[in-house]
Amino acid sequence: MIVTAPYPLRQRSVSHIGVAALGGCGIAVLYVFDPRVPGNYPVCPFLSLTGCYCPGCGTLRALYQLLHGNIVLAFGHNPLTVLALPFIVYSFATSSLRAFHLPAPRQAFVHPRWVWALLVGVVLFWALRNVPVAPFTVLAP
Amino acid sequence: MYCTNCGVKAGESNKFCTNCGAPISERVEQTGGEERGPPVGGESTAPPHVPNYLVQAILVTIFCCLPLGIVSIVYAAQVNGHVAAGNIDGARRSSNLAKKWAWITFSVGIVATIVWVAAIGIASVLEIIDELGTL
Repeated sequence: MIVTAPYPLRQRSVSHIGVAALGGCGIAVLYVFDPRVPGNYPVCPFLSLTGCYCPGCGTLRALYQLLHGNIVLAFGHNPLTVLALPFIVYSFATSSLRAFHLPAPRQAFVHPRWVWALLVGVVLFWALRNVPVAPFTVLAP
Repeated sequence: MYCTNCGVKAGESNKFCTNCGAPISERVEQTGGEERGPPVGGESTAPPHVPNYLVQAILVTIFCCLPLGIVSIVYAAQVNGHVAAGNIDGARRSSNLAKKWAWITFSVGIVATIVWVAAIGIASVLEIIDELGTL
């Protein structure tokens, strides 16, 4: 069903504009400043305090490489971020369409087994990328 | 009254769902149409969509580097499990918890980042003052 009557911008659509603007600023900063240069960004508190990599470690470096077209290098820094990105972008795009009362695809139902598989995957990824032995060092950022 | 698209509780006076923006009166118009024409198979028995906040849970897990994000993914999985089993009330409960834990993780992450950056800033200022003293 398509809504054709004009409706004022609500809080929800304003927040979508805000998130898009913040994201745009973040992308611009990240495009210019290389996360591999020490001092450009502070080191993650989780890594500094625990000495362990978290599932998100290497996300800035991965996004920097994606912005510069190096998808293989991005995958090497953090495969989870690269794999999750299309879903995140799709989700934000469709929820923006709904916020502006534009026709959007219905939200798909994901079978719970896939969500549990994702959970196991994230926890395994977290644990294994901290193992300093040959096959698992590939997962380290 | 609940939104027929996303399952979130919507006010009686709202024409559109405050969560997903779907028109609230959609179901009423559909049943009105069914009275005149032949019933549409499966349309009225489809379970309502309950948001599982999975994307938000993944985002806070990746960007906030906290074990709390995992809690949110667990509740997201529960939402879809309850919906599949037809337990819509249970799904709504898990949905609210998934949302709550995503926000908790996000808030803790933001506060930790601000404290961390401030600590690094203060430490470097103290270092500069120290160097000036030895000149």
